[in-house]
Amino acid sequence: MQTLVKIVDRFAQILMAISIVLAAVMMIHVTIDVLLSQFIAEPMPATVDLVSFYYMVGLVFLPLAFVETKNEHIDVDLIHAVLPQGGKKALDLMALTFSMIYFGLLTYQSGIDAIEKYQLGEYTMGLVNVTIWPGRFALPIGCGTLTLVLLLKLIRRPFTDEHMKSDPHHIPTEEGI
Amino acid sequence: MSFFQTGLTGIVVVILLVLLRVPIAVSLGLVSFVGFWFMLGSTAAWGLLTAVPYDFAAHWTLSSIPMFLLMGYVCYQTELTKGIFKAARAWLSFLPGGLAIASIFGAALFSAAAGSSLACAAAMGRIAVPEMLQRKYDPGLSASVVAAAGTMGSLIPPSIILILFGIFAEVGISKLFLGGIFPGILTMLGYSIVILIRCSINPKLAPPVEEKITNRDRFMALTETWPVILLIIGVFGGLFAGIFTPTEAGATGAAMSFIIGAANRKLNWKVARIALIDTAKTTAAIFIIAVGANLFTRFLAISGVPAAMSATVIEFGASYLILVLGTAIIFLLLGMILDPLGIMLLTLPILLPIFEASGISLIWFGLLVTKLVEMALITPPVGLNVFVIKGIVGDAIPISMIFKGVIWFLVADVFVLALMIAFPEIVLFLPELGQ
Repeated sequence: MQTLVKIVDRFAQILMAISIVLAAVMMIHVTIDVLLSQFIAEPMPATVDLVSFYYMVGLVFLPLAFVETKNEHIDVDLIHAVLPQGGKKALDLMALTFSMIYFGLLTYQSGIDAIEKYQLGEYTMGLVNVTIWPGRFALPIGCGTLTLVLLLKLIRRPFTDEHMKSDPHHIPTEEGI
Repeated sequence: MSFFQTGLTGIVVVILLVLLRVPIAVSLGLVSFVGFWFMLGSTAAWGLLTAVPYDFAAHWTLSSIPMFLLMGYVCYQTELTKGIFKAARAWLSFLPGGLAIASIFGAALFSAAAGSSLACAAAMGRIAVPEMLQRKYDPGLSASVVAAAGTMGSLIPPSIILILFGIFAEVGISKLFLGGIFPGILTMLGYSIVILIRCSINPKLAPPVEEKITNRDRFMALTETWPVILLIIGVFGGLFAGIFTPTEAGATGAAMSFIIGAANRKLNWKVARIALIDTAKTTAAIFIIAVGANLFTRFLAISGVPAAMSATVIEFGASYLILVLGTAIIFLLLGMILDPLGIMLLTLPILLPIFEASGISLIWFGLLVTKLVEMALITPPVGLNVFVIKGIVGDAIPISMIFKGVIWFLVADVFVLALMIAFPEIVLFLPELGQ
């Protein structure tokens, strides 16, 4: 069990690492595009397509599992905070189950869609044709890993709440991973 | 069960799940999926999951959110805030409560580089609160002023809340940003007046700063701030002049803040990595809720609940004022349990059609919503900005003392809100100027 948790957490970290590279590349790509179109009047090809269908999709779905390992998905603590241990456990089990179902559904459907678009070889038509189906796989990969993280948390929850502790969300961190 | 009843049930179930600590994103999404299945069958429900999440994320306009987040986090991590506060202090510390007023002006300036209230409160809190405590300022005042000042983060552009509102309401982001400028300045002045009055009546709250500050010091302090001011002018000048799209403004702003950080020798690999991690984490956490809200909007639209509600409101002849006050009450109630993003994304699917049908400017409505959710950031029991400051000051100041200090600033907020309602031009003047 411990090793399984470690493997999945590690994978979530790798997805997170990919996301931060995407964020950096997106910033650099768009900045260069701005400079080129202002000064040479020749923008980078396919900026809008790359930003929308690769960087954004990756940046939204790939960090999901990592955010869950840090318990930083946004929820409301009001009732949970005042309950005794048993009540806390019951609410946690319910929240984890519902979350797992929802992201399981998303994984399943987005996986089917991704494979379908891969078979079609989905691309956008513009000045240049951009193949965009690979970006689709960010959804099943991101949501699938998140579903796994949730499942492992659910299995452990009856015995301990060590893995449920959270820092307040979207406040700048001092330390990092 | 009719469509209408399914819609109403959906709203109740979402609220229930959220209260029971099911993540907001999951509550919204799961209820929408099940609701679609009830009303239109399984094909429609699966179709919803095919259409929304991918299309919502693969979105050019929304890509400005991670870029503005990055810009703010880089400014935060490379301690650009320190220079801002130092300059504000040099110019304002002669006033009664000068350091507190300086932290408000500093926060306002930082708000123009960062899109989130929490980041703004955290940034100012780290620098200004220790300084005020050292000068024997009242602890409640020191902590509460920074918690309140942080709320300008979402009013003063860039603003994550306003970008999301713009997407849901289909209003231009630049117009919303322009609309935020005057309410932001009013809030800044309102807070400053509160401090001036309180510290004039009771000088013990804020003993005057002893050290002599010469004009030379004042201009020296400015030299440290000019890169930030240049950054802000560059980003928003370009955006409002129509040279940049919001994404381009955010990306160049982020790149510029990296360069300024490097020039100040504050940039290293660790700092850059943390800023990028925070950007990715926050983007994912925000977007997954927004995806849920988008699913929920479609579910409610099919159920016909929002249409029926706006018809009722119009038939009832609800005046502008009643509508606005009703919204304010709903937001303040929700603000007791939810964070700003949650409040806005939960209520927009219902409120937007009502306001749209009543012919109220959606730009103005966007700023009203922003001001209200920002006030919720400092109202108990869930005042996230207060928690952020509490996290920074640790055991030095009890949380009840911070909430008590915040009440004064809420009074100023009510005045600003009243002005916005009485004179919508405060919001609409700048956005309409460009037309």
